[in-house]
Amino acid sequence: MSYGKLRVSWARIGKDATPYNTGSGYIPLINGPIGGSAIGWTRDDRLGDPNLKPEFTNTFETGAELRFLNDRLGVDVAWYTSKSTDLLIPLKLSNATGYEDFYTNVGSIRNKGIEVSLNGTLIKSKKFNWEMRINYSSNRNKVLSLGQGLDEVAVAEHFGYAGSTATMKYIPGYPVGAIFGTSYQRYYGSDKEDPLMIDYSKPMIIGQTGNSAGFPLINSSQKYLGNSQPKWIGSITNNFTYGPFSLSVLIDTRQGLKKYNQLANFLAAFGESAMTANRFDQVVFPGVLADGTANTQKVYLQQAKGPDGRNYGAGYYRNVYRGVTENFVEDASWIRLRNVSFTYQLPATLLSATHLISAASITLTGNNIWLHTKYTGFDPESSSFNAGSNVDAFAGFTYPATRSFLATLQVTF
Amino acid sequence: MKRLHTILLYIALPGILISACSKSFDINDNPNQATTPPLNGLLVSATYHTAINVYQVSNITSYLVQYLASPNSDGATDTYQSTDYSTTWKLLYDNMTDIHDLIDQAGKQGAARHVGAGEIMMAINLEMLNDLWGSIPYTSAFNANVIQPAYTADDSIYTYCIALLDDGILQMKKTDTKYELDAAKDLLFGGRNEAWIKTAYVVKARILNHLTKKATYNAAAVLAAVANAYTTNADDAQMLQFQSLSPWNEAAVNNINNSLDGWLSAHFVDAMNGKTYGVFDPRLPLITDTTKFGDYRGTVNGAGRIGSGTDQEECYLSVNGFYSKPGAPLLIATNAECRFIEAEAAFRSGDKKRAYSAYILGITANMDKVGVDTAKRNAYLRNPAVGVGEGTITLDLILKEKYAAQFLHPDTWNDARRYDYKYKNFNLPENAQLTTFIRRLAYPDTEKSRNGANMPAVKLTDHVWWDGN
Repeated sequence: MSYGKLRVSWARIGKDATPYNTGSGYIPLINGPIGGSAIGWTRDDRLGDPNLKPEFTNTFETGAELRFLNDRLGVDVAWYTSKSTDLLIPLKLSNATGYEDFYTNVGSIRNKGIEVSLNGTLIKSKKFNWEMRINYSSNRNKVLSLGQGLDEVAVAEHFGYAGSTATMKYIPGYPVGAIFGTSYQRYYGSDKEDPLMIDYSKPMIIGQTGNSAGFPLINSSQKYLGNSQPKWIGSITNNFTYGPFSLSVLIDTRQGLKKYNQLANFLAAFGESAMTANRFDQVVFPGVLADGTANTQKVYLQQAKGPDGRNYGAGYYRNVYRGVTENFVEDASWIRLRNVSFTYQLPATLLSATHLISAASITLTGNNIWLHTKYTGFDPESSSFNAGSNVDAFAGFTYPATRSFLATLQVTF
Repeated sequence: MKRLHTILLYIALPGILISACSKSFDINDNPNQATTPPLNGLLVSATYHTAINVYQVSNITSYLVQYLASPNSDGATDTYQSTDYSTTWKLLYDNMTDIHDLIDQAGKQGAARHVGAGEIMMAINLEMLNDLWGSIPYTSAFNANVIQPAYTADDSIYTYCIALLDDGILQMKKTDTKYELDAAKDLLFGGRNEAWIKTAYVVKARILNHLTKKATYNAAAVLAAVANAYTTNADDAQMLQFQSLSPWNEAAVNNINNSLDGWLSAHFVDAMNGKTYGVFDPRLPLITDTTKFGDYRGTVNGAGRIGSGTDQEECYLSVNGFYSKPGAPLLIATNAECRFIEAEAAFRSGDKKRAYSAYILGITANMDKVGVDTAKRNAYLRNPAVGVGEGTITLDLILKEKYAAQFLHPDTWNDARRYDYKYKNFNLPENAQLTTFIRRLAYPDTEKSRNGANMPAVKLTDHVWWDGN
């Protein structure tokens, strides 16, 4: 061992509210006067909190930094637990309150996790060097309480057709990234059905009457469908240098998270999704009838009148599929080749002849070169809400991160 | 010396300014908001949005009663899909919140007229919410201290409406108000107290008339309210001023600009052009224009357009039509509606003579309002299919004519449900998602997300409380 450090820290960090959120008031109508002259006043959509307090986060962290073999190998390990209290959040309110949201202090959440960083100079010679850095972190969080006598609060929502709007809610015991929405009705028989958790091993219930005969039924109350917070985040950076050449490669990953794919919801609604290509098929949906017996009814997935003479109306994908949020909360794990950069340092002997340029290099850089994900939208990393917000469950109608290539010439005089 | 004075002044000045500032501003006060609203500012907003909300609700119900049809096949509202009407819900509650604050502020200031107008408008909005969704937050609504308001029982909402209307009438008659309504700020009636009182009675009659399927229905109570309601078209509650275009005019203008909107339903057109009832209704040319085929054709609900949608192959709200011309009046309650309520209540109480007379007056009132030529109007009234005489007047005829006279009014959906959609040739839309007619709206997604624990579970085929089973 060439270096060793153990550390323990405790910190308390405050976060201040944004201005003018301690009260609520009245504003003139936004679309201007009526009949050119009458000015209307209305209650503003934002409810402030006169007792607003700063949000505080207490963090306890312990870790160790160790280096071996003349600093060629380094390890940094940290474990932390933090508790944030009086979270500053604009809660979404029922419009029956007269407001759209309520900027207030809400309960507390706990975060805990580990961070590991390894770095090493794997090869070190006169001409060739290879350095590698690996980062890994894993965080778990949980809503501890909400205060104000609340069982649940809505933090954000993202529209889906036919009642399939996805909602991020804080519910004590659930993670901060919990996504809720509609699901398929499932047959629990004599077992008790949890109001929020879905038992995916239970069979779907298939309708027997009217237009829903032969099709899965929708549970229109909102159930827990996944967590938008990753189980772990990792990255590997490799730096190679060979004489005047150097190459840097960065691979990033996020694993074990889910997101609501609004784009898929829209595409399914309009028959544009690849998923809907089977709409000329006839199927027997696996599942059971309300009495628990197996479903045997064959149905067509297309619209209007099927070959069996039954009128299927708008068809399965509009009538059922798009109305089930469960279908659109997808695994949004990804691995991407974030960055590759190649540099050539021009030889000094060549430059000295100019008597002007002391150093010069050419760098070729590529960003976002390769992405591997099961997510069916454009890019699981993009978000429909701004990056600074705590709303990260919605990656719907957003452009993917751009792939870019740069050539850089750097000259030092 | 003079120089010294100047220096002293400059030293003193910041002190004066700072002390001035600290008195006027609290760092937490938003300079872009008022903490106490101007009473008349709320009155402007409330009167305007009460009218606009009638349009907003109508933009749903008109597709359910097949006044209008979506130009696209499988229109969500047309075909009874479980549609998210969060926006309409929010607009209704936003307005009711302003009305709530208006009543509250006016009460504190001793402005009885403002209280009265507020209560009458509250009843109008509350009734629409109740008819669309059934149980809704009311008694714990508009309150910053209750962020997940409970739902008030569906069958108690009308009781609150009637109480609001009764008190509204009292407030309008009070002799000791501090302020009268400002004519320029009361966008509905220009400060005419009598008009507010009459309107309260119209709304009361409308509400009581919805109870025909209930044991509590009382035709005499309906007629008692009608007796104090409108008597001429000049009494009508209508909005004539707008922030931009009159809403149905905007639909017609959008349609001309190929953003398809305001398409007439085949059911409505057939009911008016003689196909269903064998008599051409002279109001039709004052609502829409003929197609390129030279006749009147509607669009079948759920089926959508036939051609490109821009070839005048169907009838649309016309930019020259009574309901959709520039500045077209947005109707909230009318003399014609009163006459049809009177006709129905008289009929149900066995007074066919009064029923028939009110029926004829109702048609006349609406035709005059829309601008039908007197000769054409009289010819229509003399048509044996219309002017049947008091001996043979039926509920079917009354509701058929009310359907035509109440074109685009949301109350027609209440009539349709009370009447079990028995209008002649009224069919389920094509591609209907339900096997029976729709009976209520799905609760909005915002409520499901934000107030799900309180929101009742309902199906679109569940009848609302006054609609029997």
